[in-house]
Amino acid sequence: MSDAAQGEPSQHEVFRTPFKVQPAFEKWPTPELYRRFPNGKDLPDQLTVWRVQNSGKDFGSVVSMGYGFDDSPDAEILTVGYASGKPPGSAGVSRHANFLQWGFSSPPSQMTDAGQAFFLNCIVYIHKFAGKQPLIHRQSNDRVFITCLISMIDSVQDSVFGQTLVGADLFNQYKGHCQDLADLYTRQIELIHSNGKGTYLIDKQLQDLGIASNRKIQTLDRLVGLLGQSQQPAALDALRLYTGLSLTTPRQWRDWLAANRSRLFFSDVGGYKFFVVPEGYLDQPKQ
Amino acid sequence: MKSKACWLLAACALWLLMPLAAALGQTNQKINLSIFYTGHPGSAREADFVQFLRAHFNQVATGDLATFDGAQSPTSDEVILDYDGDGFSAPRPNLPNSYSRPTITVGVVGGFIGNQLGLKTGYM
Repeated sequence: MSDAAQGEPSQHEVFRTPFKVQPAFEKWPTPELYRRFPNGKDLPDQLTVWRVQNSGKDFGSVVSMGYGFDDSPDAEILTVGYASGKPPGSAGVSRHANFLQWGFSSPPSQMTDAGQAFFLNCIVYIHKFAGKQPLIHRQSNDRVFITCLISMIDSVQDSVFGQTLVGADLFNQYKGHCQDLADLYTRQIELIHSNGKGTYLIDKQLQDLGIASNRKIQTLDRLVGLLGQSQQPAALDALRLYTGLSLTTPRQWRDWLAANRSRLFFSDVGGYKFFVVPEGYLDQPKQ
Repeated sequence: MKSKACWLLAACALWLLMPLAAALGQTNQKINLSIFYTGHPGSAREADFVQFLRAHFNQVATGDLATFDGAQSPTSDEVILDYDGDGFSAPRPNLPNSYSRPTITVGVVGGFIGNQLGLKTGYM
């Protein structure tokens, strides 16, 4: 990552309190690499950035994966970083539970005034998350990013990359036509799931049940509704796959869903599963 | 009477300037948090961070990232994990699964620590 944050600061408190962050905005050219990603195709020729530090280098700082960052309620991107070698939207400063990653590498004496104010605010902000451990841990990649990776399969020399990513059958079937495969995955994006070993597949079992998405809570309703019917074995498989639970009776599944419905979320990054937010986890901390 | 007017004028000027001073971080009142900065002891980078932090926070203690196991300086309100150099050769602390202290991770080494802990904030 460069010395700059990308985009104007949001209304988030890390830009307002206790110190007001007052960046000096500049316009920098949109990195060519950004255009290769779905969220980079329509960007203007120049992007608004503001210097957080003055290291004098175009490298040395670090971003985190932006795709999927917000798929769990314990994580947030505080600012995107301007990183010409990474996808657009990569996180320059971000928080996951009780950890706040300051991706910029320079010490305070090399930070700009705005950078210093932002850094101090981050230190104050993270204190609110004492005792808040992560709800999920990184197990896999977000499905949009997977479609991007699939579209690059033909340009990667080592065939292990493609075979691992989509499995040997699809890799061989679409050899030399990876964009077609990426298009297929994009059309079925709601049904992409991970086998936990780096391979991403389209869930045909869920498709056969007439279910269009694996990440909506209504999907759980549909699956629970199918218990006790002829499709029970497939529905039970899917419920276990997407919750990690091994409940058996329809009553148990109904009770679990009723008890946790308002606190459920689905995370690709956490392993393509539903998770339950513990009671009180998202309550505002005491000031 | 004249001195009372001067005093009032000075008070008004002070009141007007206070928000500006606060915005620039030039207030004398330090933030009531105790910080445990854990980095490379004796390095210029540690001195840089500590000088800055001490100017803004009530208490700042220091530790060594190479030996940090999550338990040091337990009374500090939060922890900063940092190191000098390129970050690739920096030590990686082993934190227990129960670790839940509010923590800032900095730069490349911060990204690696994120990876090690399975965090979304890890190095991409």
